[in-house]
Amino acid sequence: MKRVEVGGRLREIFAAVLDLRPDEVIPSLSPDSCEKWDSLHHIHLVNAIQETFGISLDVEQQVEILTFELGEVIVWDALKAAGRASE
Amino acid sequence: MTMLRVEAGAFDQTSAVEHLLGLTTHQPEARLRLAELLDRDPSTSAYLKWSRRLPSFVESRRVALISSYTVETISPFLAVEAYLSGWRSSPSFIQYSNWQPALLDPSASLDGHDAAVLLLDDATIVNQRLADSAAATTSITDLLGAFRAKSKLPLFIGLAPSRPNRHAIGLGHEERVQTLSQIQWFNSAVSTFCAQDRATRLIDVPGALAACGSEAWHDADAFAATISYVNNKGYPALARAIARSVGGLLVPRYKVLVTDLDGTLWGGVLGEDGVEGISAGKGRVGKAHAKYQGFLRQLRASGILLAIVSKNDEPHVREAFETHAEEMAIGWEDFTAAKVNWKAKSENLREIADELGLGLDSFVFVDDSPVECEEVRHSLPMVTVIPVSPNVADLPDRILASRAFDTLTISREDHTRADQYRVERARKAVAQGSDIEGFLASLELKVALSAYDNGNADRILQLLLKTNQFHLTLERPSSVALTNRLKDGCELYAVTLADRFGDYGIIGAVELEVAPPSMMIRNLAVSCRALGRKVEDAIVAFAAARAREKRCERLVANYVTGPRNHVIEEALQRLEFTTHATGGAARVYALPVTPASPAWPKHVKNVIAVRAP
Repeated sequence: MKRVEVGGRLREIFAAVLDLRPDEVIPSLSPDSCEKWDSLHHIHLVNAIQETFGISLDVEQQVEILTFELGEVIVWDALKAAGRASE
Repeated sequence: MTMLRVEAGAFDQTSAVEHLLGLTTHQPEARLRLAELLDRDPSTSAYLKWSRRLPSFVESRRVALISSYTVETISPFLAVEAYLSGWRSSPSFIQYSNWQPALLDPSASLDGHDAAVLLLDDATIVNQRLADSAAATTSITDLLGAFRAKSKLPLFIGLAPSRPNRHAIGLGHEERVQTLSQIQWFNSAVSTFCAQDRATRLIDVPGALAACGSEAWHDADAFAATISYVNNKGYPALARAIARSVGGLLVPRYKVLVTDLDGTLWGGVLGEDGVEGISAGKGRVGKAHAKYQGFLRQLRASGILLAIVSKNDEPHVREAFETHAEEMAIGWEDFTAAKVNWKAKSENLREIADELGLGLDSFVFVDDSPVECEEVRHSLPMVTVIPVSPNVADLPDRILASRAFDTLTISREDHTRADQYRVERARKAVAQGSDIEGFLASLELKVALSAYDNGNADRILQLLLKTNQFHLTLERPSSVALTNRLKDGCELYAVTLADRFGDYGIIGAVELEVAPPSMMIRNLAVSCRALGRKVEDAIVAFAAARAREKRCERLVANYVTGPRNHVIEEALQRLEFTTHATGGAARVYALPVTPASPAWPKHVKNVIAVRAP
């Protein structure tokens, strides 16, 4: 999977889970800037990410998704570790 | 009405799909289409997305989820699955650490709810191992007993599924087998409790989760981190099991299934293949149709009325039923109504609804022709249409998946309903050529009123929840609300009816409250099966008798206008009730009670076994 594709699909997930338009999902999107992003929706986000990308994030990775940008990095690292990232 | 968002350069696909599904309308098939969509994509994102777009016109139910594990993330799954079962979920969660206190002191957290769902896991058994498993089993039944002593709230218990990861259960084979059998023992103790308590019902959580794949629904890491015993792969199935169980209790069941014949009840086309040429039960094709026929008989035995609508000639159809009687799993006499003619199917459906006195919104229509399906959809959007295609073999499963016929309990009245409608035809035959008073007198009606007790409680609640036409207030009370009102001094009676043709069973419920100088008829519901018998005259006479005993001067009935309950207002006016006050959708009717009036109706032969509380 290519990096740009990861970003696009992740944006769709954030938009679906947090009920935003795709263009509202900006790199700095965080629980502070998005009212809907509470702990419950964080779990939904993690579940949706794992489901969509077919990856398993450990608890540390799960709690590190503090912005959309960080989410992208963590998913990319997990895909690399699984040998499914193509630069 | 939600508008499709249209912006230059933007296309809101979800809004478009929402409209295509019909989510913005009352069309029942929107639920079927959404269910199909979610079958293809049961992801967290999909459930979240649809959970925000559910129509608000579906009736909301407050359900408390009490769980021995974290379950809050089930919300979007439950919202969608509840909608698919015909109710709107408005859940509150009792945190997992509080599940036992919540059962011990239900008034603190459960008041105001329509039902509670208790979800159990295997931790009590697995953690305590064999030594204390007996104690764990005793403790759960004690807890349930303590809850029931304090609360009448309907309680659904999700049995504990055994977690799939073997090392958590035990490394040794023997140890594992013993622990698993202890979990079964624990579940069986809960089942035994439910069997003895009519307000507590089971949810087959282990069965529902097993359908997701034996290991898919549990994630050991997530369980360790967040005490989420079930993961998002298991939530659709868990939410579905909860939604269907709660819906089975709180949502009115569909009442009629109307089936086509050619290509549906049997294979082939009668008019082209001839009586001998159709596949009614033999051969590969015939057997698939026989499976559908057997399913229809099962539905009939559970209280669903069956009807035929077919474009054929009736003598030809009857001949087909007779010729294939031995191989078919259903007979002509199993159908309560049949319209075999060349009229539009929607017109025939309307006529059947009139004949049976039932609303078309309680009809399911099954046909193999896309054209006929579309004609009915277009003319009667309130009817749920289920096409036979892609194949007849899985038709029973697809009909069940529509959830139209979900129910928790099947009462004695349900078992005999179809036969009672047959008897009704005999009554109608007597009615022909006779005036109404003569007809009613010839029926030799016997009415019995008996006070609310364990034997009639389920049926009384069922009548108040499901009656749409002869229903005074259209209030849909919970069993808790009813028992609370009884505690406050209300009187609640089941009305039983019989005539010379047979027994109708419990056909009505009436709630009275003494409020001197008035005797209030708080609520009154009579099944549509008993309409036209003037049973209400006997009920009003009974209420008047109670009024005299309590020295009340008048009967007062609060009528609330609804879409189809005008018949009850007409009955009140016929019985000489007059308008006392009006306000919004409510009209208060009153009738003076004197020693002589209202009197017992002459057409009712006798009123038997009146038992006051």
